[in-house]
Amino acid sequence: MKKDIKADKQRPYKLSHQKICLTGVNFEKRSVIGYVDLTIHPLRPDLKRVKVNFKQGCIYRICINDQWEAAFLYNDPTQEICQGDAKQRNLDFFQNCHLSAMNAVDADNVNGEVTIKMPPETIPLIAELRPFRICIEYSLENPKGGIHFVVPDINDDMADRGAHMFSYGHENSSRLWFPCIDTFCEPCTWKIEITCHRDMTAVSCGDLIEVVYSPCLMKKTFHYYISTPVSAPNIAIAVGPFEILVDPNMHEVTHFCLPHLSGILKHTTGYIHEAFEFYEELLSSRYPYSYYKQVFVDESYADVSVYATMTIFSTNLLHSSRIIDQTFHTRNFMAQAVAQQFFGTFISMDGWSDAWLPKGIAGYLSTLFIKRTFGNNEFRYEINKILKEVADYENKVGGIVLDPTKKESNVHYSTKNPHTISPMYAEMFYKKATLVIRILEHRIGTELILQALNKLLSLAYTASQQKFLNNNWTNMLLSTNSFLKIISTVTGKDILPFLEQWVYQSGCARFYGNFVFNRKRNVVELEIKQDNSSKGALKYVGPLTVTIQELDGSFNHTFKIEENKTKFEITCHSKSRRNKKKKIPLMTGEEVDMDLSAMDADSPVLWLRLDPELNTLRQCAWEQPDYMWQYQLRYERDVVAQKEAIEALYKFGTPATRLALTDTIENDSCYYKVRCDACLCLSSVANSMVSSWAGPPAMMTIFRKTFGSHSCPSIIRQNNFNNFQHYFLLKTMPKAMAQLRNIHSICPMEVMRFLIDLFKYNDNSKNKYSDNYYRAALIEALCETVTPAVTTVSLSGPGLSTDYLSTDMRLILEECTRCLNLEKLLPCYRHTVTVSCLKLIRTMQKFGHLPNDPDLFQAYANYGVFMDVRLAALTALVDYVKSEHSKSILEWLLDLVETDKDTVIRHKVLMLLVDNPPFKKGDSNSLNTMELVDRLWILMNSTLCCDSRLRCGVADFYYILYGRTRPSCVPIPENMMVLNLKQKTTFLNPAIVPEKLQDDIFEEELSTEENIYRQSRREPGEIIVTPKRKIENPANPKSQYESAFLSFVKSSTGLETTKPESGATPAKQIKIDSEGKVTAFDLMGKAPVDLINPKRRRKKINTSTNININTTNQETKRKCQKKKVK
Amino acid sequence: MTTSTECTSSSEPRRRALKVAVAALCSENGFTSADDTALETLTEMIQSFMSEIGRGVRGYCELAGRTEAMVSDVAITLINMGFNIGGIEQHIKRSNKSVFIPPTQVTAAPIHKTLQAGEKKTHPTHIPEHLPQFPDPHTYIRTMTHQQPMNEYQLMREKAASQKRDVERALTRFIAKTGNTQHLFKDDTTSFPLIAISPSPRPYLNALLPKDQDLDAQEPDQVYSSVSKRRLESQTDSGIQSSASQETVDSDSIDNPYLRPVKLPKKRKR
Repeated sequence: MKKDIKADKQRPYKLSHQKICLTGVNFEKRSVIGYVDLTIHPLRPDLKRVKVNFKQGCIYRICINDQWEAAFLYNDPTQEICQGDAKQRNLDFFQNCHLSAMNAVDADNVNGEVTIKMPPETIPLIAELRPFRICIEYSLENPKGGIHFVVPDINDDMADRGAHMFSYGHENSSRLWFPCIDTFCEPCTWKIEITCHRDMTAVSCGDLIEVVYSPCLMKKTFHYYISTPVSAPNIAIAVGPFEILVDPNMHEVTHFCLPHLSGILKHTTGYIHEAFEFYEELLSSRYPYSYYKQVFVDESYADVSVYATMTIFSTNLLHSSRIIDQTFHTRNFMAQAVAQQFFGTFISMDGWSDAWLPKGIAGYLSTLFIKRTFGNNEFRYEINKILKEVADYENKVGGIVLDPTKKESNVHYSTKNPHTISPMYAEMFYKKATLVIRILEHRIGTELILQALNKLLSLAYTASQQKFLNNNWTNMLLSTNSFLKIISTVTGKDILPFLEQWVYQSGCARFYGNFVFNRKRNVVELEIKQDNSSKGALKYVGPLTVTIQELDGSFNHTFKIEENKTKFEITCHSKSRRNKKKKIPLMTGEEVDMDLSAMDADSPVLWLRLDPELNTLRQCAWEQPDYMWQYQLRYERDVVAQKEAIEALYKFGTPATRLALTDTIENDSCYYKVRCDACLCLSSVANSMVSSWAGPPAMMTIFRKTFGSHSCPSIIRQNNFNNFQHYFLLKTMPKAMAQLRNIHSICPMEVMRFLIDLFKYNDNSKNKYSDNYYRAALIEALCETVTPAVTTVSLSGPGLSTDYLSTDMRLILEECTRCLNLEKLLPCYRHTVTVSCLKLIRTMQKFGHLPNDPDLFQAYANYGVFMDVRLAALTALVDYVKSEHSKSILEWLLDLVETDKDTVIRHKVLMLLVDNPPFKKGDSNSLNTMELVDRLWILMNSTLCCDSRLRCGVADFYYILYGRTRPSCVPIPENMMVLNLKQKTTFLNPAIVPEKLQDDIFEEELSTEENIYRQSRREPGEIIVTPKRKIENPANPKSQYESAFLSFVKSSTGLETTKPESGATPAKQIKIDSEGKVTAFDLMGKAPVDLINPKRRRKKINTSTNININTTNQETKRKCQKKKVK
Repeated sequence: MTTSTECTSSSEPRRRALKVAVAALCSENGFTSADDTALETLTEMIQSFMSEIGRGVRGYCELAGRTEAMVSDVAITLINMGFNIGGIEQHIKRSNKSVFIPPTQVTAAPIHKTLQAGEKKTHPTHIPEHLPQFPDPHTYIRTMTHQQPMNEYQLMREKAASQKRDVERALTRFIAKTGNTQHLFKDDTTSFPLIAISPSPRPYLNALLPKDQDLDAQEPDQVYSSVSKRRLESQTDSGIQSSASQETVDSDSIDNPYLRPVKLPKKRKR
C-alpha cells in the first residue's frame, strides 16, 4: 500500500470543502456519532483511490455523492510499530519502524489509514475532473485519544455536573476524532454542525450561524461555518454547560468557562483586547477571522491549544484579582494564543520541515507583547532564559535542527515527523524557533521584518477571500522557501546564509575566552575560542559584538569570527587617567560616580561583554577578574549583564562580592528578578565564606529593614503586596536565607527562628492580594533548611520514630502539619501550600528525618485531586522509586501512564520519570528487569498508539534507561550476523553490539567537554583536550564469520565477568557448537527470562534459543489492527 | 414553721434571745432546770405565737390603711385571738421579774478582700443600715477594667498571632480527631496526624475559588449569578424567546452570535 513517496508527492486531488456533522454526543457512553462530507476535486482523470486519515473509530459506510457506496481498506501500521519483530528490543530499530509507520499514514506523503476505492460509477465524473463528495459515516466510542470527556462522578444530570468534552491532539491529530486529510497544507472551507443537549453549548471553529432546537426541544444544533480556508488539524470542538461571557471591550470575542467560574473568567479575560490591539497595530493588519473564542476546560491536554478562531485553555489558568503570580503566566499564554491565530492557524505551515516558521513567528510576536506589557527588562530576562534553556538542552541531548529535511539527526528520535519527536524536543524546538526569528529581526531590522510579516498576512488574506481554485490558497501556507522569497522581495536581502547557519544546521555556538590589558600598547588582547567537541555545538562563523566599558565610556566592537582565528584586539580609548575625579559615562548615556579603588590601577577597562544583544545562539564562558563582575553588576544597566555577573560571582566568595550583592538587593531601581537572583547568590557566597562571616546571617538586616514593622523590626509587617517588587523579594529572601549554613553545615539557629517567626506573624487580613504563594514560599524555605539527619539508629531496628526528631525538625513538622491540615479546611488558590508541604515531607523523608513512606503521596496522587497537588505527589513518588528501588510503586506509576483519566498527568508522569529516572543505562539495579523492558516496549509499541506525545515520552524514558541499543537485561538474540540483501553485506546484529560503543563515546565526549568548560572558566592557560575517540564502526563488515564472532563473545563475556556488581544482568557463558549456533548458559541460576527451557537443555542444547524467545514474545504481542468493512 | 427550718446563722441571735426569755419565764415559774428539748419546744411554740400575732397586726394595720402598726392593732389582734389583754398589765407588774443581760453585739464577718471587686455602693438614706449590702458593682452595673488595654504593637501582634494559631490548631486537631487521618510515622498514629485527602469530583472548583481569604465580596454574587442563570435556562420550557430576551438585555448593542435567541425548528424539516 505504500506508494513511492519520492515519485508522487503531489496529491492527485484537492479538497475544497468539508462538512463535519456530529449528530450525537453521549457523555454517559463517552461516544460521538456523526458523518463527514468531503468535497474532492480530482486533478487526474485516472484517480482510482482516495486516502483519508482516520484512526480508532468505526466507519459504517462510505458513500460517493450520496449514491454509490465505496469499498475501503483500513490499515494503520502505527497501531503496532514493530510488527512481528518483537524479538528486538532496541530503540534505534523502534525509531526506524516508528518513522516509517508514521510516514506510511502521513497525509503529507499522500498517505492515510483509510484507502477508498472509487466505485466504477464515478469514472466518468473523474474523467471530466468534476468534483465529487465523499460521505463517511462513523462513530467513536470511548476514544483513547483525540477527544477527551470529563465526566465528574456526581449523581446529577450532565449539565449540572459540569461534564464537558473537547478535542485535543499533538500537532496534526485531528484524524483521531474525524476522518479528514490530516495535514496543514490542505486548507478548505468548513461547515460544522454539532447537536448536543439543550443545557450544553457546543463551541467550534468559525462563525456561529445559528442555533436550532430539535423538534422535541431537548436538543440544540449549533451550525458553524468557516469561510476562510483552514486545514483539518486546526479544527476543534468543545461541548459543555459553559457559562458564556462576551468580552465587553471586543464584542466579537467570546469566553467560555465551566459553571461557577464566570466571576474569575471575567477578571482573567479582561486584558485580552489589549493583545488584539497590540498585534493588529504591530502587524498593521486586521485580525484575520471574524470571531475569536476562548474556552477554559478541565483536564486540558496542554495549557494552551490553538485552533482556528478558538483556543482551548486549561481552566487552571483562571484566577481572581487577588492572585499575583498566575496573572503573568495567564496573560502570556493568552497573548501567545492570539499571536498563533495570525501565524499558526491563519497562515499555517506547509509541511513539518516548515513548522519552525509559524511557531517561531508566533513566539517572536508574543515576546514582543511581553516587552510591551511587562517591560524591556522582563523581555530581555526572558530571552536570556530561553537562550540558556535551549543551549543547555542542545548540550545535554543534542542539536535541534529547525528544518530537518537536509540533515540526519543523531538523536534517539527522528525529527522528521511531528509524531516521532520527543516531547521535550518539541518544547525546545518552539523556543529555538522564537530565538531564531528574533535574531533574524536583528539581521534585517525590526521595521523590515514587520513589513515582511505584513506582506505575508495581506497575501494570505487576499488568498483566503478567493473562491476555490487549484493552488489559489497556497499563499496561506508558509514554507521556508516562500519565506525566503518574501524576505528578499520585501527587503532585498538574501537570508539564505542565515538559514544555512541557524535553520538547516543544529546546535549553538559555545564561546569561551578571556582577555588581558596590554599597558604598553594600550590595547586589550582578547582570546575567543569555540568549543566544538561537545554535543549540540555549532561552529560559528560570522560577526560577534564585544562591548567594552572603559573609564571614558562604553564602546561596541564587532569582530569577524573565522575558522581558526582566536586572537582579537581592542585599542582602548582612554589612557588611564583615573586620578581625575570624573564621572563615568555608561552605554545608556548616563554618567555615574564610581569607586574605582577596587580595579587595577593601570587598566582603564571596567568590564567586557560578548554578544551583549543576544544576537547569536550561544553559550559564553567568559573570564573576568571578580572586581570587574562586581562593577558590571553594580553599574551595567542591562539585566542580562547583571544576571551574567551574578552567575559569575558565585565563584568569588569575598567581602567585596558580598557588598556588591547586598547593594543590588537593596537597590530599589534594580529589576526585581535580578534582585532575587542576587539573594540566592548571596546565600551561596555567604556559605563559601562562612568561617570569616561577621555579623548577623546574610540578608537578615535587609529583610528587617524592608519588611520589619517600624516599632519592632523583628516582627514582619502585616502583608501588603501593593509593591510587587517587594512581594517577589519577600518570597525569595526567606528561601535564600534558608540555604545558609553554619560551620557544621546545618542551618543556623537564628535563621530557623526567623523562619518560624515569619509563619507565626504572617497576617494577611488587611491585604488586597492573596498570600498563598508567599505561604508556599515559606514552606519551601523550611524545605531548604533541612539537612541530612544524624542517624544513630541501625537500619534493622524498629525504624524512625518521633523520638529521633531534633527540635528543629519537630518545629518544621508541626508547622507543616498545621498548614497541610488547614489547607483541607480553607484551601488556597491552586493549593500552592499543599504542593510545598508535600515537597517538604518528601525532603524530610529523603534526609532521614521521617520514615520513607509512599502511602501518603499515593493518596495525593489519585485521580480527583487537583492537578498541581497530584504532580507534587507524583514527583515525590518518582523520587521514592529512585531512592528505594520500589518495584510496586514504579508499576503503579506506569499504570497511571497507561490508564489515568487525565492526559496531562499521564504525560507529566513520564516527564518526571525522564527527569529523575530510577536508574540509568548501565546501572545495576533490581528494577532493571526483563519485565520492565517488555512493559515499556509494549506501551510504546502498541498501547499508546493514540497519543504520540505519550508514545514518544515512553521512548524517551526507554532511552534514559537502556540507551539506543539492546537493554543489558535482554538476552542476546541468536542471529549474530545480519545479512543485508540489498547491499549484499553481512554485519553484526545491531541488537547485540555491546552498548559501550556508541553511547559511551557520547558520554566521554560530554565529560571532555565539561572539563574544557570547567577549566576554561578557571585556568584558561591549561586546557586539556583529550583526543577524540574514534567510533568503531559496528557495521564493520567481516568476511570471516567465526573470528568476528569469537572475538565478540570473548569481549562480551569478559565484560560481564569484570562487572560483578551488575546484579540484574545474569552472567552468561556463550558457546558455539559445531554448527555455529549460539547457546547462552545462565550462570547465576536465575535469569529474568529463561533463555533455555530446562527440559530442552538437557536433551538438545542448540535448538533452544530461537524457539523460546519467540514464544515469550508471542504472549506479549497483540494485534490491534482493525479492519471493518461493511 | 418555715422560719424554724430556715433559721440559719442570721436568725441565731433572735432565737437565742427567745430561748433566754423562755428560760427566764420558766425560772420565774419555779423550774430550776429544764431539758434542752423541752426548752426548744417552748421556744418554737412562742416563736409561732409571735409570728401569728405579727401576721394579725399587719393585717389590721393594713386594713386601716397604714403601713406602720400601732399598739391598738396589737391589742385587737390579741383580743381577736381570744386573749385577755388586761393580764398583760399584771404580768408586767409582777415582782419576780428577771433582768436580761442584753446580747453581745456580733461583729459582721469581714468579706474576703480578694473576692470583692470594686467599691460597694452605700445604702441610700431610706434603707436601714442593717439590711444587706449591695452586691459588687460589676455584677449589675459594669465591669471595671483597672489595667490599661494593651496597645503596644509588639504585644498586640504577638497576641493576635498566637490567638490565630490556637484557633487554627484547635480546629485542625478537632477535624483530625474526628475524621480520617494519615500518618507520617506508621507505628505512631498520635503525633502529627494529617487530615486525609479525599478526591473530589471537580477538584478545580476548590482550587480556583479559594476559601482561605475573606472573599465575601466576590463569592456570593458569583454563585448567585450562575445559579440564577441555570434556573433561567431550565425554566424556559415554553417561553424560549422570552428567556432569551431576558438573558440578553443588552444584546441590541452587542452583536454576538452566542447572545442571539435559539431558533425553533422549522416545521418543514420533519
